[in-house]
Amino acid sequence: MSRQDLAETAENASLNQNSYAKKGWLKKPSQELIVLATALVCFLFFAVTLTGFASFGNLVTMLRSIAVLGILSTGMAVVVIGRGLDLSQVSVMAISSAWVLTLMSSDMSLVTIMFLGLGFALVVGILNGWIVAFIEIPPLFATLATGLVCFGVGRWVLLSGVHAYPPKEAADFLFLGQGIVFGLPMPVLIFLVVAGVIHVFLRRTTIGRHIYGLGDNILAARLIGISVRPLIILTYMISAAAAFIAGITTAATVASMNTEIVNSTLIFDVLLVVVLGGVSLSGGRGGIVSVVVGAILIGILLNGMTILNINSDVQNIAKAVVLLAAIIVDRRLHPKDEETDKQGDH
Amino acid sequence: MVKATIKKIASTLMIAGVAITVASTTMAAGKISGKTERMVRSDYVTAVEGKTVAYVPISLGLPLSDYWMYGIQTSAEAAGMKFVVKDPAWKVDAMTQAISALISDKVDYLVVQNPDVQVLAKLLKKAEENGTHVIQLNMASNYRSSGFVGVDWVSHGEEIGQDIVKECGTGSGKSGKVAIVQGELTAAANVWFVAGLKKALGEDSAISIVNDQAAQWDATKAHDITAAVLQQNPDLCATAGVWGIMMLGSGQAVKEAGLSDQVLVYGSGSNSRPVCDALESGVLHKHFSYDSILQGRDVVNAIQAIAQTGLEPGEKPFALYSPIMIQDSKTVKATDCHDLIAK
Amino acid sequence: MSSITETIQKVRYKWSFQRAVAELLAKRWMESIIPFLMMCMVLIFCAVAIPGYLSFSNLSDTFSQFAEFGFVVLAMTLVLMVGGIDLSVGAMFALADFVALVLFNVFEIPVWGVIPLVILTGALMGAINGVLIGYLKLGAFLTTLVTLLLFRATFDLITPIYAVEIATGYQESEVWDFIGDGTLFGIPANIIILIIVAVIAHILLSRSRPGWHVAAIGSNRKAARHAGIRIDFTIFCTYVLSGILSATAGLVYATRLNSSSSNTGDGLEVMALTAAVLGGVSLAGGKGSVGRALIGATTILVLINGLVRLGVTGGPTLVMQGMIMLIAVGIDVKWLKNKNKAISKIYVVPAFLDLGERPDARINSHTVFEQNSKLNNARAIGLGTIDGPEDVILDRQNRLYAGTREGWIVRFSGDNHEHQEVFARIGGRPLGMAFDAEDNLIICIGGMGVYGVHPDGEVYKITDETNRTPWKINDDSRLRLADDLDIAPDGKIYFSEATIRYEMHSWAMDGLEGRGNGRLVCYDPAKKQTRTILRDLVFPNGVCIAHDGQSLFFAQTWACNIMQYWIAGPNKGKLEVAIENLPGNPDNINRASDGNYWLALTGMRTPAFDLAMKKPGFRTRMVKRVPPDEWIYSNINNGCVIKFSGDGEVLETYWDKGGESHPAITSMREHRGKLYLGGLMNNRIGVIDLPDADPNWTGPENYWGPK
Repeated sequence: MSRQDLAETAENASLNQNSYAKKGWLKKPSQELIVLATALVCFLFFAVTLTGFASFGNLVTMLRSIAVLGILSTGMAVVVIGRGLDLSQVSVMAISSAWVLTLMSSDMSLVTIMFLGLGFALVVGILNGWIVAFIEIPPLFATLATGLVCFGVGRWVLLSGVHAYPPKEAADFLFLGQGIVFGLPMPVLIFLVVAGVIHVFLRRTTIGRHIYGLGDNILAARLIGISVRPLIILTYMISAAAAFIAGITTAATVASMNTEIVNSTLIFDVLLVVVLGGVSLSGGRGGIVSVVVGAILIGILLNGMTILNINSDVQNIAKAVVLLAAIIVDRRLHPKDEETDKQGDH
Repeated sequence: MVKATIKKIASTLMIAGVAITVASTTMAAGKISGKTERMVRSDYVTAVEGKTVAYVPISLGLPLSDYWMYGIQTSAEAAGMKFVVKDPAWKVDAMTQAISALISDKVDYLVVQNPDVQVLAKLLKKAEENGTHVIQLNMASNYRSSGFVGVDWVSHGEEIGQDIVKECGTGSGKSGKVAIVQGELTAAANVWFVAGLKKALGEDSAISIVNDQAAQWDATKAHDITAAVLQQNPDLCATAGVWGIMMLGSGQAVKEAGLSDQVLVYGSGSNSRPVCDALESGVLHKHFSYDSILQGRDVVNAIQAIAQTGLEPGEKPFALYSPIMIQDSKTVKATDCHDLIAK
Repeated sequence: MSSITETIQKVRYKWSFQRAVAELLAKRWMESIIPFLMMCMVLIFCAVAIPGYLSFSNLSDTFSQFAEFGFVVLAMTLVLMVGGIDLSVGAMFALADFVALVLFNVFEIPVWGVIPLVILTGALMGAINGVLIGYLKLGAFLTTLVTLLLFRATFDLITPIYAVEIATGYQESEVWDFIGDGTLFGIPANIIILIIVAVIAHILLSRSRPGWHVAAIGSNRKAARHAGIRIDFTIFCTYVLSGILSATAGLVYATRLNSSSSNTGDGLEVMALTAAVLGGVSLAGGKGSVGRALIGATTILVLINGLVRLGVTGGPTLVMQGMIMLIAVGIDVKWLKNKNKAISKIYVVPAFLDLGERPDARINSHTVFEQNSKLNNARAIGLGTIDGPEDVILDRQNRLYAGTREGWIVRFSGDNHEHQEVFARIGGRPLGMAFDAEDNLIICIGGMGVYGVHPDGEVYKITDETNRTPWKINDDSRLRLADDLDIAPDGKIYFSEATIRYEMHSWAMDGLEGRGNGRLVCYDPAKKQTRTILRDLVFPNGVCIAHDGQSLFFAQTWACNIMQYWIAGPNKGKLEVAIENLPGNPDNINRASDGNYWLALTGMRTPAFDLAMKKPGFRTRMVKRVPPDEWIYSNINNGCVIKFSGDGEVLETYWDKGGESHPAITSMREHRGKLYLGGLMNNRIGVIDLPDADPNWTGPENYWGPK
């Protein structure tokens, strides 16, 4: 069998799995549909009860508020579909973008600086993937530790403070966060482009299909000739790149980067969106569309609650309860054998 | 009241009298003057030089704490004192450990920025019992130590509130809607600042607080909160928060909504370059600034005074409130702003 | 005979460093030696870098800040051991701290009321985790992540309500202050509480049934379920305990600092996780102990405290924390994966063994060992229905007993022993047997020890341990491979333990070592005491008390000799070689009716094998590089029984040439003019007639007289 044949076999295998899943739709609704329905119900509820909620302006605001979360989540989704987890994402996002802001005071060109920042993010991604694939440390601990190291190195070597600010003349850069194109703010556009690219990558390319195979059954994937270790590294690189893009978007939006964001609950929000959208943590399932749906539900909830002037702590409690429900539903829809589970398999 | 005033006048007269006497004596005999000067100098040297000043902020790497460090270190070293700094990097445990270690090292002066009113109170008391003078910087604790140097938060909040009332309140012809962006709900500075702010705002019935959420010191959160609030209240008049850097996020949201001319963005904090840039570009409208480098020098001045009076730690607690300067796009000048301190 | 090089080799291989390393590595506590060394290094580092660090007052001061962290690491260790993880410890800690302060400062409840209420709070929070993970079977990581968010948000929500009152209210209480800053003999009170809790937890985990259940579920959930352990309930309980321990930590923190702020307990879960893993608590579950948890906690705390005191800033500290975590988990993962491989590579340590010139046993050699076919026509008993009768014995009623691979004692009765039944089921691997004065059957059970069976078939334990040799690394107090026994007239049971380094299934590896790993042990029924009497024997096997009851013979299988040891009379304690240089590996020895002794030879020496025994390096390479079924062993395709006299003269040899019906005979027993043959790997018991023997002689009568 040639490599091409093997690849086709793998593709057929995951396509079969897909059609199998489609059959399941008839029997019980997929999580994606449930979430979409919930989002619609919430939307209608807020639209009726809150004045100004359903306006075009507010919808754009809502999309904009979830753009960064959405970019991070699409990156995370790739890793999770490959049965991994990337807790270092926020750290990479904060340090790479803050470093870019710091470098902008030097006389390097913006393009060079951007490549440096992206390069830093990719190095952390490769490190993550290498530790997970070759040393075989469970991704949970590997990425937790690399997150600490990345943040520490940033604070120690790359940055001079907790916050980083762009110099005064940085219109090109700030356009990425504050510009408006075709009536849509740049962050929303960036989110849509990232989501679209990753969607096509996952669904239409051989490597993308291989990531599903990797997450579904790593041993089987290895047996049919997929080089699983480089593939694992690739997923973490994609996640790190998404983190970099999200960081740049954030920094350009508020013209500063607060690296203390690492100690926030942002990474939990990312996991929330991913799990909510039906990307099972046991790997091999879900897609970018589900992630976008999950992000929109979170966006609607947060936007509505903010307008209602609900305390941010209550918002957090609401988020936690929603996430818990999503995990329970995930468990019901995709039961797994906890007797064969390994630690770090979430 | 009258008694106190009389006492005050009496003591002033007495001091004046002493001063005149000293002056006249000095004029009478130049020799003695030299001796006094040498005595003053040698007293100063024995009291101040070689003493250790330890500085423990919540975290280094912020404009605020970096300016303080610059101010304290340069003035302390100029006065011949030794300077030590510990960086707990936001970890309260690391902070308590660092302070415990400094107590057992018996440093002479401890300068502390409290993360909240309680967590260090017991330790600071222990430090003073062990003979270490404690100066609390900008954020105080429940324990009243030798000295406090920093902003008078309640009146600081009140000042901003009064300014908002002037701009948005009765007779201004505006909506009177105000959104408050809090920092961390439990942080002392935030609590007192917001208390003062709300007190001032409450004095005008035309003012209504439409949103009052915590952004956890995060500009991005402040941005999202403000954006949502603007959707709901496009006629918002002002938004205010305790920390200018955080309010940059709010300012960006206002700018994006194209409401920069209508919504006033208030902040407070040290006069750092990013804040001044934001004032110039109209992202922030008014910033109530205090000069953190000078606050650092105030700390060292206080220490020098304590050293020469020979007071026991905590014997006569005092406070030095920092002056506030109001900056806006017109008054902001390059001279009033500090550049970020590079590492 | 032996040249200088051989002498050197003998000395060189007598003691082995490698053996010590291999045995050390196989120790369970070896897993915590690396963490322990790491802790010592960190302490030394601090002692050198910080003046006055090791003074008692400084240590007491430093460690008074450590109690709460110790509790949290204990909580984390407990859940890691059951195969889970608890990320909510930090949030539970913060909430408990808050609850304690509200109860004490605001509601002014006395300390004795505060403590149980706070612990109850912890238990309730732990119960939420427990129900979700134990009963609803959600993933531990995500679930506790969510409860972390939930508890933390709840904490943030209610803290501002009471913040001012907590700060201003205060209750005078000596107990409260004592827990917070008190000391007892200079030791901080909170550390004393931690030590008490740690001791209780240690006993609970390592010495109680619930503790074993926790480890069993963590190691292998499926096996635990099959063993009937209530998995759901046990997991639920560990999370409740985790909540209680975290709450205790919060309580101790509350008394110490009297403060509750928004970042109390932030990031504590990551620190606790790092500490537990660093201490050697395995992420895979099942492996961990209180000691390891505390070692890890101390290492992390001393390190961070040291860095803070040295003025190292946040960045490097974070980098170091992350690197340490990676290294610790990496070692954990790689160690788990490769430990057994590494040990098996170096565990076999061959020694130099010079067997001397092999006696000729070929046909027409006219030696006493000359091969014949006397056993070739042995009649088979239980052919195909018995598996591996290592030893056989007959009782006064002529019934034939044999131990089998299944761990049973099988009994044959009837005139031709045609009726077969299972007499007793013991387990292990039944080996040598003997009857005592009360007709109880005493049996050496490989892997278990020495057991007895009453005539009615009831099994009882005689002994399974002996005194430990102080200087041996391997714990040799347990009997691993009791091989053969005999009973002296005074009732003392003398038995051989073939090796203390290998288990029943790998005894052949001991042959490749050819080292003195075995011993002779005596059990005294009067004192109910087991004592080792001879050590460093080369696979001691058959044991037989001489006819006069004053000495015993035992065979050293790999040394190919028979030793005589006096147990009574004027020569008591004397040990000498009775027969040396046998043509094969001697096994069981038993009495013959004519006052002589029977000896079974289980394998035959070959020139290649003899040479290999002189080449330890060769055998080491063989074990490492060649698969086991290609290794060199002695020739077991022969059956041989020898008769020798009490003064060590070989009288007669019985061969099963070519091993046609009875290869590798391990035992033989004379009874009423017949000789019964057993073999460790045979599927039958053989019997031949002894025409010259006393037709009425039986073993039990010969030992204990007629009844």
